[in-house]
Amino acid sequence: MFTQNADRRLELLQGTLDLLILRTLVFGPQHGQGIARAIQQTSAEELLVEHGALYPALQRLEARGWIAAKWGVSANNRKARFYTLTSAGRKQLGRETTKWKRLAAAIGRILESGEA
Amino acid sequence: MFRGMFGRKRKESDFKSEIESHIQLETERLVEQGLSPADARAAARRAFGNVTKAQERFYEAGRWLWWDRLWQDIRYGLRQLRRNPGFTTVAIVTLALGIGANTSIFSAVNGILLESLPYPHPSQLVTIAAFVRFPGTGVVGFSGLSSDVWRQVQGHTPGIQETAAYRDRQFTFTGQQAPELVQATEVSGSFFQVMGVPPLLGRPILTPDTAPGENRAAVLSYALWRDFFGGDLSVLGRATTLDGVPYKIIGVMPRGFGYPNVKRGLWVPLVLTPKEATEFGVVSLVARLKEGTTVDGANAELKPEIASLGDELPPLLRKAKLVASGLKGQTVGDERTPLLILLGAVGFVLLIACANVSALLLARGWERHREVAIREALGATRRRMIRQFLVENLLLSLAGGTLGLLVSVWGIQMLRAIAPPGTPRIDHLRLEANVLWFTLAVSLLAGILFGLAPALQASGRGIGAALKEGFGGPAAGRSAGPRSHRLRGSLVIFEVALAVILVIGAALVARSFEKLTSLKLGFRTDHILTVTVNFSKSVCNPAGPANIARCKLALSEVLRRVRSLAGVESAAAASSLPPEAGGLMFSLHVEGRPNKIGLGQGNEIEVRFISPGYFRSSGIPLLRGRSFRDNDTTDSPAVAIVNEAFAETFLGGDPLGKRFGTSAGKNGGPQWRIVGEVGNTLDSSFNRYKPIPEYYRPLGQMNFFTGQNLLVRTGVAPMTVAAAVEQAVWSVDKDAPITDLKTMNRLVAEAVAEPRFRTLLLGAFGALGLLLAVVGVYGVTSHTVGQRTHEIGLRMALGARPSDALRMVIWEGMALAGAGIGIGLCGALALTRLLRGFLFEIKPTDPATFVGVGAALALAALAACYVPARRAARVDPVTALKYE
Repeated sequence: MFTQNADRRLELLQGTLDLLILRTLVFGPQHGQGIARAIQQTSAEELLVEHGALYPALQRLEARGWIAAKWGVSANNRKARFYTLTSAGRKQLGRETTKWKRLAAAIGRILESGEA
Repeated sequence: MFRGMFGRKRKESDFKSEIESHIQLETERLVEQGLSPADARAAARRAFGNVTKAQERFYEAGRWLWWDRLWQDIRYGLRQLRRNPGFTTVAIVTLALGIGANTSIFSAVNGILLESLPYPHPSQLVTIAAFVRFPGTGVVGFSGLSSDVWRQVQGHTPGIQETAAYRDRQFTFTGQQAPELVQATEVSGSFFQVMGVPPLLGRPILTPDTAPGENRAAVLSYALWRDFFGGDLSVLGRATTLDGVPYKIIGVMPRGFGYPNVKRGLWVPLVLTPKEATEFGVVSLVARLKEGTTVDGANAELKPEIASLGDELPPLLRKAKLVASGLKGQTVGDERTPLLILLGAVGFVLLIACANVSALLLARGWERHREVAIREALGATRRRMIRQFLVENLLLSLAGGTLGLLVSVWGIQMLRAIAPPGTPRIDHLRLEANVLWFTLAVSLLAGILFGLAPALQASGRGIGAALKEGFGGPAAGRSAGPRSHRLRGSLVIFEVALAVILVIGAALVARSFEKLTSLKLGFRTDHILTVTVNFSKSVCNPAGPANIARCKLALSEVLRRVRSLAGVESAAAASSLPPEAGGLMFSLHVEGRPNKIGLGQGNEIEVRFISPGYFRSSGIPLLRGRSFRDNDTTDSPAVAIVNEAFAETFLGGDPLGKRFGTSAGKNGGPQWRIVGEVGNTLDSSFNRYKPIPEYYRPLGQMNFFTGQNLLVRTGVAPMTVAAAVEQAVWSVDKDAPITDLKTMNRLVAEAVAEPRFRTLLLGAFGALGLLLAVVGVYGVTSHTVGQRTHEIGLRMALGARPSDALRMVIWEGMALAGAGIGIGLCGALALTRLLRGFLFEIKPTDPATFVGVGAALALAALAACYVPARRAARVDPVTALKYE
């Protein structure tokens, strides 16, 4: 489902959501809705995250042991499932960040050379 | 990850509440931003996207989805099976019987046929024997060869790596509670090398040990070491005296090694006297082929060997051929065909069981057609449904297999208990890995076999058709599905046909057994005790005339003491006792006949050497003349007694006063005068039903000693005097081992043990097959009636009488059974010839058996149809139509 202003936002590239989730959790435990909000806010509302798509990703990361989850209580007293970055997840984040930066730089160079 | 394989990682409800909490949090955030709660909630939902899809994606992304679905199918299947305890029990028990019977028989096949011999590269091991073809009587094999043949074979057969010679003998082991005979084998120095089995302790017998005059060495079998020496490790080097000769123990063989005939015994070096070294019939040969040489290849090389020995051969063996035969084929030998036939029969039982369960499943599949239709309408794919059914069936078959294993534990015990004595390796039967794999494979195969057709049929009916039938339950359905109906019909035909074949086989074997056991044996079997006395060397060493006289004296003393025991009416001794065969006679001259008679001339003639009182004790009737007396000795004229068959075949009637013998007597004619004629007796090879010409000679007139088999006629139960008889023997020779202390009834029973075994097993399979087939016919007919209650009611409402309904149901059931019986009879005609070796005095296509079994099955099927038909006749049209 698209929100009304979806057309103006960027759709996430395949595989980048995992990286963003891990990055978000560096600042501490967070629940699913919090992660979705954080991604949107830190990307200055540029990135479109379909909230529903977040959960399979969380599930996947949890299964790989990069994040851990347990039920807790949110700031406004709601029961929520909180995710924490594990040490394996932290390493993975490092690897993924490097990879991503190199990829982004490479793509950037190609695009710039095209413009020149 | 590990956890994920066996249980779902996270419950769906947990996931659901997480999504719920997300939407809640998002809604609250939006409310804070000023939206109305309703709008906020809608916006939160929109932002989330398709909730169900998210759930599905979460779930399907799981690596264990396949496993998870299977687990789901299994749980669903278990629920289904629990919900129908009647069906489940019948199916599992049916399968358990089929699988259990198969596992038991397979364990025998595995233990006796498939298990390899306990020697390295057993296929390279052969025995070598001489075979001579006699006109009329066929081929006779002689395993007793000479040292010359041994050397010839060893030196001139390139395909043979090493040859060993051996000779069986017995030793008396004293010092235990009772003197005991132990089996021993004298072996050449190459024997253990040929067998390729190293000793457990010490060293094997080597060529230097076989030099004459050496201190004799002995290698013990594991059982002897355990029972007589307590498994003592310090046994090596110990001296022991056997039959008066000192032996030094040099080794112990591992458990399981006992070639050729050493179960609890020992091996000693083969030391031949110069005379023995040139004689024929002294040693047996076993050889190991070179790698790459086949038994046939070795035989091609062996053929000229015996001929090249030329003049040294006894005339009898001039035309003999040396033949090598694989060791494995021999130890199992005759067991092969019977076991394979049993395996075939028991396979039929399993097929019948499968057909039965299949029919049950078809019936149930039809009842479940709406469940299937609904599940398919809700999106279950056809593949998924078939898988669901297969999983259920595999659950059934595995449960059946597990229960079947329990059945087979009992079955194997039964097999061991009823197996004929002397069945090779019968104590080795157990549930081992091979057998368990077999059971698993059979169970899975059975599950697929009985389940595939119903699964395809049940899931292929289309949604619309099933749902259109409404929710009135199967009884309301008019279309039972012609395909399902036909399928069940053919299953019934199939299983009835198999049952007919099984029962005919069983009946043929049972009738032969009955004929066999009702044969007139010609001697009494009740109130007779038999004993074999093995005199010790110190009392009786039958070498030289003086010693033979001592042996005869010892024997008459034993007989005198036994006869004086309370409860004993008479006692006698003989070289062999019925039902064992007498000795085969090679050649005889008969007065008035120009040609010799005997084995060499194509006549089987047996001989027995007996003491006075033998005919009275054994109950063999004296027809003419007299029996032997105590004064028939070497000093009196040589006499003989012949049986009826001998008199008729060779003397043309009254034999008294006529003469015959192995050679000419003093006055030119044959030397034995016939003083009596007795009735014929049958020997244990009852298949040679025709009585064999036989003659008897008095022990007292023989210049050799034999006759250590006692026959004790008692006035009381024979075993009650057994201990006293033993004591009487020991009072003459305290070191004499006593073997085969048995009643004559038991001896005779042992002689027919093998046919009895087959009859029992085939009978059991026949009965099982029949029972299952009848249950099958009943099940299908009864289900058909249930399905057609509505139709029958309608017919009755339109004027049909109950007898019409009865006739209709019976007619339909019997049409199936009849077709099955017809096919079964044809199948039996083709298959029973395999049983020929099992049959006695009855043809494999015996018309009476075929007709009888056909009729019996028809009757059984009729009974199976009658019960549901009665139910059909009682259908009340009003109730039946109300079902709609």
